[in-house]
Amino acid sequence: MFELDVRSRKPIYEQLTDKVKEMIMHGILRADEQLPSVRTLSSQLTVNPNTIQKAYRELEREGYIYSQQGKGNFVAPLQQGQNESKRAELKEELLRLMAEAVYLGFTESEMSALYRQALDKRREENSHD
Amino acid sequence: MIEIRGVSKIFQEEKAVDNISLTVHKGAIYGLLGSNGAGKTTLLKTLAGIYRPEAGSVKLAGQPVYESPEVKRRMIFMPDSPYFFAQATIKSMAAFYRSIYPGWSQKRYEELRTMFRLDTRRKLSRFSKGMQRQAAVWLALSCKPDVLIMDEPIDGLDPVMRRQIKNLLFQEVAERELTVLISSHNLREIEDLCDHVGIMHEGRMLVEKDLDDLKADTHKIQVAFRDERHAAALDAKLQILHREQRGSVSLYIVKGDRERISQAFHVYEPYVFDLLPLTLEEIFIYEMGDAGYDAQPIIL
Repeated sequence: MFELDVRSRKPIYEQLTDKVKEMIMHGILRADEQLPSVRTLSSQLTVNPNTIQKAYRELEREGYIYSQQGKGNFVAPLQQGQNESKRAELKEELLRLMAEAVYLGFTESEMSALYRQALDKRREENSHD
Repeated sequence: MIEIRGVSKIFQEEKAVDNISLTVHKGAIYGLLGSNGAGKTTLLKTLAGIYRPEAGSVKLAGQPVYESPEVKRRMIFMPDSPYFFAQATIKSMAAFYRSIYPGWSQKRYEELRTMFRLDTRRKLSRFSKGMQRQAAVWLALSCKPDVLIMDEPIDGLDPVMRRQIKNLLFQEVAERELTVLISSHNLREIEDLCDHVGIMHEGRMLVEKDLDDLKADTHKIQVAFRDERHAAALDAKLQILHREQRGSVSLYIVKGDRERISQAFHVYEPYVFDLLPLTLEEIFIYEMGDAGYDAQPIIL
């Protein structure tokens, strides 16, 4: 269920946390859904179990998942404000992309058209739920 | 689980290992890296209780290792070239290991047979290097050790077997907290395998850290300044391991916190700024360069 890029410079545990966050935000992983165990994931991905454990701990610290003694790790219900850090990160990324777009001559209306397109796509995804 | 404190080993005036301390926690996979002749094998052999250190202590779960059969029963040392008795087969070696190691599991041995698919009745001396290596791993894991010490274990294994053995080690770590200590030159393999690394040079330990922390602590930066004079001002603020000029773009290797470094550069509003994590190989080369072991002097 996860694909990692072992050639990437990004540390494996960061790739894992990013992947899980992405899946939660896109609703692929639902609230209270169980995540694969450290053991299962380790043998599926051929990744050090300590690295997976570390990624799960980090996700729990950030409030994306919760763990239950002896049962495993589960997706935490999405809370407002939890996305603060992700929002800040995204803002920076958008600004960088927009600066590039402005340089290449994108107009304001072209950009807002893109925003609407993203909004429609999101609505469409939700209607399948 | 493994505690090495201030260990030195001297061979005729020559200090092969010089005052080394090292800790490996239970369930960790520790990678020991180093330049040629850095003393890795000497350190591993001292840990295995083959050498007696001139100074310092080597303990496993709080017990000294040297000349202690009880402690040694809990660990397996796999030397860089597998050793088997003359004329031995896997079957006869298995019987020997069974008689020595109380933790020997016949069940595990049979389970692993299906994976390794080696002929247990054939003479080990007639096996290829890679097959001998497989046999050594098979026998070692059948003993169910608490600690596994491997000197250059990947040597001679094909990619399929490497992956299989990696998976086996991960399984043992996840299920029963096996502690693994590995030395290797193959940094790519170590990067995928280990969670902690130590880098040795001339008998001493240069760095010892959580692998992810080590990677998060050193960065490669590509930058193009608006004004060349800005570069000099940065030296005072950051710990720069390496700098290289490639046309109008400068390449930096900087130690420290990602955010802080990024801010230090952004003060000068560079045209181009790219911050990348380093690969283990790059970390190794720059750390070695910092210790005076590099191919050429750095030209500023």
